[in-house]
Amino acid sequence: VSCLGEKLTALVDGELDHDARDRALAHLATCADCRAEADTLRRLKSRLRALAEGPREPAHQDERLDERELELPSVDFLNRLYALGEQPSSPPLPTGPARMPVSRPRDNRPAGRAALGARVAGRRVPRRRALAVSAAAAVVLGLGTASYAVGGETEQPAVVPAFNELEAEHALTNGLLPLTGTSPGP
Amino acid sequence: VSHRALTTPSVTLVAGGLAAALMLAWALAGDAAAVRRPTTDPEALDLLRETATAARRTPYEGVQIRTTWNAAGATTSAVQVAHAPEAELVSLHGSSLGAQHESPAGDGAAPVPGGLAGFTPATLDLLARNYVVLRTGDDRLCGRTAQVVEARRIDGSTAGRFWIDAQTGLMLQRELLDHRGRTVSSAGFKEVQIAWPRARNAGISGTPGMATAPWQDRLVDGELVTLREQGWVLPAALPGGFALQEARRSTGRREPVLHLSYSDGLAALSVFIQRGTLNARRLAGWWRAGDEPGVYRRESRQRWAVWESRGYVYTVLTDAPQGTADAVIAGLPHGDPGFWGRLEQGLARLGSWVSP
Repeated sequence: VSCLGEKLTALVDGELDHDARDRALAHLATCADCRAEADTLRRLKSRLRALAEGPREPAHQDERLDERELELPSVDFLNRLYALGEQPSSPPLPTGPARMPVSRPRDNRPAGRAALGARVAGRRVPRRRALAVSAAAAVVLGLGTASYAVGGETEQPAVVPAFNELEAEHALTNGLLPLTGTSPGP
Repeated sequence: VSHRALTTPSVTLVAGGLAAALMLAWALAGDAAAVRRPTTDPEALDLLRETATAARRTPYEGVQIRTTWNAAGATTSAVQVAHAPEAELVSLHGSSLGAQHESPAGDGAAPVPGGLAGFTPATLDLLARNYVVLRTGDDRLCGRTAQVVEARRIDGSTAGRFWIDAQTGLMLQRELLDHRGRTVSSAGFKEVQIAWPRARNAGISGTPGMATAPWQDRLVDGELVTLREQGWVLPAALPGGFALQEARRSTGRREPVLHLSYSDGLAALSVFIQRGTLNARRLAGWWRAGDEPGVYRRESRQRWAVWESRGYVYTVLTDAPQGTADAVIAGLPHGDPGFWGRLEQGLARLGSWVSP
């Protein structure tokens, strides 16, 4: 947890006012932990934005998951995950923005041989399954943690509503008269 | 064997007959109940429907008063009014007061819910849905003959009473009553002349500097959807049959305030929402009461409640009876979001980052 707490989310969201922003930035200049956390949040935000804009060209052909980055799974990534387990000897799959259908060779085999194949293949099927399950679990955990982290209240100013203005607004929209003189009754 | 074969069909026959008799009795009783329960009188609805046109077309001048009764006693306000039809009552029933829910862009001269300015078709529909509307006879008011229309709750108690001028169709007075039959608020003419106003500048005698038009930034449905995605709680309906009539946003300040206008056809209820935490130290004259902790209340010309929840401050303002107001307040967010609420809030925020 960073020293700035939920102000950090507000900073990334651009919700801090001028002074609070200056103070937060001044703190970031001196605190490496907060800087790293702000960096992660910013990267997460920009990745989510990028996801919304549609799949992009992969930056590298390397099929290993780069653990230094907080990576969200894309269709492309999941395809490669499947490909890793199922087609060890096939050439590298084309990676591009188009969604490629995921073909599962097991479906092409006669039903009777599927179990045999699994037995012959030894522990590879469970491993594949375990890989998929742990990937899904990682996604759920990651998304949950990220949601909880950014779901806290951002710092809000203490306010008192402008009651007189609200009363005038209420009166002006409900068909009754805006009130002027008031005399307390008996 | 033959004995059992004979009895089984006869038992079935008796059971079937009994069931049919029960069904018949239930159906008859249901019919009788339906006959006993009064239904809305279409003529009464027509009278109310005409009040909006009459309020626009009739020239008049006089004094209107509004009284609110609460635990501390009664509070009365008076205002001089004058209306010339061609002026369209610039500041009283001004053209920007429209509440046409279906055409947010096109402001007509339609006046809004329940007030003396008359009923819109939408609020009249709400009234007919939530209440039974009946004519109850004639009365005298301000030296004029008035037809009295009542809105009754399902339990038969009177929730609203309207005095409509027999000659012009103008609404002369309206009252709201609580479940025990006590009047909680009334608005109407103390004196009225149906004549062209002598003063050339028809309108209300307002205090200089007082706002004469509502907030101009009216929110369309798409904007409401976006705000909801950003975490604002903007219910389309509230307990007690209240439906959202329109939403506006304040302009000219850094933190905008949203104004949601609700009506059940009878009472008007405003919910104001702004971001922030409530500075309770500056709420002199307010008290905490009711089932919801953290809700500050005040009763003056209206019933007020203000509280904070999850980074937003809610202010409710209404002339509806206390019980009705309490149900609405309970239907709005209170307290902390909790673990799942925080998770949901975070997901919504992530979502808004994805599609800003």
